[in-house]
Amino acid sequence: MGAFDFLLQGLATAAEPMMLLYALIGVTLGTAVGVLPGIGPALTVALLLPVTYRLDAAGSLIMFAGIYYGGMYGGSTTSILLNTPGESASIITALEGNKMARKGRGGPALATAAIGSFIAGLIATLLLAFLAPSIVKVALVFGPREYFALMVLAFVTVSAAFGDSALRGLTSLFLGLALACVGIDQLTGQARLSFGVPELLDGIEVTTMAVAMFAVGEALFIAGQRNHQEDEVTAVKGSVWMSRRDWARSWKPWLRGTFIGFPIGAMPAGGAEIGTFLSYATEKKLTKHPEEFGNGAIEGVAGPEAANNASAAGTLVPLLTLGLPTSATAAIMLAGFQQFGLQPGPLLFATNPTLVWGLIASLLIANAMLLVLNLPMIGLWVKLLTVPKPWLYAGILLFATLGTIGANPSSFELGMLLGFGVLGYVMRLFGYPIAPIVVGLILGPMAEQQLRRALAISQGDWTTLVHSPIAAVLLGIAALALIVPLILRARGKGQVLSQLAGDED
Amino acid sequence: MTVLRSIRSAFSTFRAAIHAASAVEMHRVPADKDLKMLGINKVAFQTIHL
Amino acid sequence: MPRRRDTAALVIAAGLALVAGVMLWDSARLADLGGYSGVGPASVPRVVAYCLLGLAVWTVVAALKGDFPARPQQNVPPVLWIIAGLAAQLVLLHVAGFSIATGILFAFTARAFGKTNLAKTLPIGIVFAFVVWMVFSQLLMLHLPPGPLEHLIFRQG
Repeated sequence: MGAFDFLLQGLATAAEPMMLLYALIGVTLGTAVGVLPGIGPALTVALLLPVTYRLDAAGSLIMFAGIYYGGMYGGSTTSILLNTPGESASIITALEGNKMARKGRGGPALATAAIGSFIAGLIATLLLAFLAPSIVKVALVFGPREYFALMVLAFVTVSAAFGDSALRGLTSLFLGLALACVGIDQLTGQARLSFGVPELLDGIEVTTMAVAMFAVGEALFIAGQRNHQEDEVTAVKGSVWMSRRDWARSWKPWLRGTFIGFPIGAMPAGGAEIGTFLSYATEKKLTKHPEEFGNGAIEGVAGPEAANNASAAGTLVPLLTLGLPTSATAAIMLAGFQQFGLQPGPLLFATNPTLVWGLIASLLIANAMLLVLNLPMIGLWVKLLTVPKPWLYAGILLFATLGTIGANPSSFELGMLLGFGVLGYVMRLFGYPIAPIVVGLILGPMAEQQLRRALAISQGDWTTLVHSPIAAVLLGIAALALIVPLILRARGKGQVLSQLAGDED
Repeated sequence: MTVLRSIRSAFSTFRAAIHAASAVEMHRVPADKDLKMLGINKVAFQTIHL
Repeated sequence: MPRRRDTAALVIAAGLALVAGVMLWDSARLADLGGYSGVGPASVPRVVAYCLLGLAVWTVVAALKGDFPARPQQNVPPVLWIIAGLAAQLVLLHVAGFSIATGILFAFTARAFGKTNLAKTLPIGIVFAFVVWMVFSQLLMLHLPPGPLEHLIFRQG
């Protein structure tokens, strides 16, 4: 059976009324959190984990994916109307989109963002469906050492290769790995780093940590910021619909954005933001109206918005086929799978094809729902923008603690929430990235298990790790990804210095 | 040579995008040279409420 | 920019070294049942600890060179208000119940973001938290600790 048949079967699963309801809840929530600044999809999924504990696995996962897609749609609304990006992946949209809104072209800006997101989501989800089976076929031969190598690669790329400081990225990662060691060792049953505290024997809850990092840490950071700008909503004036000229100028950026965003989402580099920056740079280089860039060029909205949706779908490729999260949101979704005792990866395609293909197919449905939700009903979301900041953050913290208390109503768990929240605040303050510590905590135990299995098979021979060509290549790439940026950065610093010297002359 | 140059320019644009992305994730304005490489007007960028 | 010593970064380095030390101390008391592989429960914590030590040294070097990015200016009182709110909730949760404890957190957070009138925000917070408690504990069957307020209205508790 080919991917197409699987997809049709998946559509049948996803079209069940209950699944449709889950998808609808997901995309609605996703759009809402996308619109609201301060909460992103990663935090929302983390908050929902304890609540969905008793619900249907397939339905919950469909809901989570809907939140991820929805967040990418909703973020653009705030960017365009408020100049305040609801998600970091929509920052670039604010650049041209808000200028358009100020000129009374907010309608077409919102339309090109929504339609571009739809087209990108559609193409990228189909790409996901047709690529997944071949990746799964390759991954089926993976043994422990290949998985270990893959995880090492993910560690390096998430933390060191692409951030602006290898030191801070690696520090964040290793803090996550240290926290991952807490609890009972899976293979020997010995308690590690738990200091006789019974609550620590189960290890550190991923949801507590994620909620603390994304909700508490973020709220502390925003509260501490000096300049509270008063936001002003730019009313949508004029026609909401795009003119023929707008269409003509939008369709190419949509497609380019899709094909930029998708591979970048799939790469273990993390984040949909990179694709949006690249798409903007591309559109600016290729445009026939360079004078409009900076003054509200529609291409600058169409391209990046397509790119961020495509990379959301791209992120799902390694997550579903290899069980490898490449961004913070994907890492939390992995925790969502694990909560139901499911391990995404090639085996899941074999053991539970209904669930996997139902999930992929539901993305197509969610995408269509989002288009309806975001174009005709845009006025509703604009109302959400007027929630004042004090109530917004008070509500966020209320629900953040609710999730933690609901999962485990102990003061100890709340203490951890507070402790990690302060840690997240300090990390933000000093410019430490958040994604590596979360990825480290989630992937750490898996990597350790695979490593010990691989070494048990080889009876302690470490060279086994590079005897398999796939593992060797993956580890090689990881080593390069760690070292090359360090060299480039060292050289880059020299260039800047010489440039500065040149400017003084 | 032009092929080599365009590959290099693609790579440096890519790097600038990555640096800018990691900066905005930390609520910071990206470095001037990254913004310049991406064709983003710094003044316009600073008006965005990160 | 002048190269200056960065005390805060040095404190971070000390913290990293401390974490590494604790991990090494903890792994030393584990029976290392390496078995066939030679890699036991203590191995990975040890490797992580050594890496953290290395990162601590690297942080010291970066701090002495002044490589850390400039810190954004922060207002301390709002941050402390939120922390106080979370701490109050933690302490009061099992004494006063979910609604009152969380209402205090709500009001303190609103205070941090500029709603200074606690006499107004506190009741709003408690009522809102109570509604949330009703929805989540009665409908979604989440276990949220009840207190006097919850017992007053739902006698069966």
